Formats: sequence, C-alpha cells, structure tokens
Amino acid sequence: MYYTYEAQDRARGLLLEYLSPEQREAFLTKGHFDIVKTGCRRSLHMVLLGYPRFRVYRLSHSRYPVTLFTSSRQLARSAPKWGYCIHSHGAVPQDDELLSMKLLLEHDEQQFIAIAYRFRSPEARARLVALDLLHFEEGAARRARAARDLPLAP
Amino acid sequence: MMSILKIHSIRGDDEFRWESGVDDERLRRARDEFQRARRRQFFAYSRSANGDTQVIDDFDPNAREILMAVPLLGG
Repeated sequence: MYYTYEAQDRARGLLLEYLSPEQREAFLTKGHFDIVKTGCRRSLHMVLLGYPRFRVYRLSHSRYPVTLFTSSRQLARSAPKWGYCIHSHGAVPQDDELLSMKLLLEHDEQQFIAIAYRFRSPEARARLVALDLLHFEEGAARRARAARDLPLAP
Repeated sequence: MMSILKIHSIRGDDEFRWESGVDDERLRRARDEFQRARRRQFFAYSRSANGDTQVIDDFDPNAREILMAVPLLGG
C-alpha cells in the first residue's frame, strides 16, 4: 500500500503530537522511544518494534522501559527471545499504526498481548535447536552407556 | 471551545470539528463518525489540554480532542 506524502506527513505530525516531550526528542534523534507501562501479569518487559515493520519483540532480561524501535539495525543488535507480530486492520500510514500501538501498550497492555501473535524469535529458535541437538547427543551417549552396562540375558 | 475528532485513515487522519455545548449538525456528524469507527473496532482515546490520554467507550461531546486509533491484528 502506498500513501501520499501528505498522508505520511499528517500521520507523523499526529504521532509527534501524542508523544511526550522526552519521547518526541528520542524518536526524532534515535528513531525509537520508551513507554512507561502500567504493567500486567504477562508484562512484555521490554518491547522492540521494528523490522519487519510491525513486529514487536519481547526481551527476557530486562523489565523497563519499553522501547519501540523503528529501524531494523536497532532490532538486529538485540537478541530477543519472543516475538510478537501485530499490524493494523486497515490502510493507514506507518506512523498511525505506531501511534495506535503506543496508545494500546500504554493503556491496555493485556489487550495488546491478547491481540498480538506470539512466536519464538529466530535467534531463540536457533539456540533451541542447538540445545535440542546437544540433548539428543547426550541422550544417545547415555543410552549407549546403559546398553553397554546391562547384564547379559541368561 | 472547539472540539475535534480525529480518525486514522488512508489520508493520515480525518478531522471532524464541533463547538462544545452546541447541538448542531457538526456535533451529530462527529457522533456518527465516532460510532461508525467504533463499529469498525477502532480504539477511542480522549486527550486533555495537558496531553494526557484516556480510553473512552462512548462519544463525549465535551471532550477537547478524541482520537480514533486504527484497530490492530495479530499475525
């Protein structure tokens, strides 16, 4: 979907209007901003929004603040465990979607989690596969040892 | 006081203005647009003069600014 420059400018203006001064400064200088959440039982701890455009990643090691990233480079530097995929149900510029996500995260994180599709991030999956292989090899070695130590059948 | 309803759209957002406390065509139009957006699962937020936002369920004719944010889907 392509949007006119005017639509994108309007969406950017509206997003900036709804950001706090600190968020606005961070977004304009670094391309992402932090969100102070009310929190919930299944809190996202830390969220990265970025590449591909509408993916939100959950980090397992840190609680606050929530950071919405809008560049793939920033996301690539992180090693998230879980990914959340969420996108808009309508044709709107990207900044409108970002604003909708920010407001939903701020006001109703639980609903945000309920809506988003959760998946294990590629980095975490690779680690898991490596771990599974390790377990498999350990299991095979244990079974071989056990077979070797078994008394012979009469 | 002039109130404003902003609804996310393909044009960025669409604006509907009305005079707070005046029951006229503009207010009815804004209310209709609000309800139409609600039926389309848009999120509704009211923003006060100091920039604080809060979730609203119903159209508030005395609100300074209402934003209807685009609905989100997982997947």
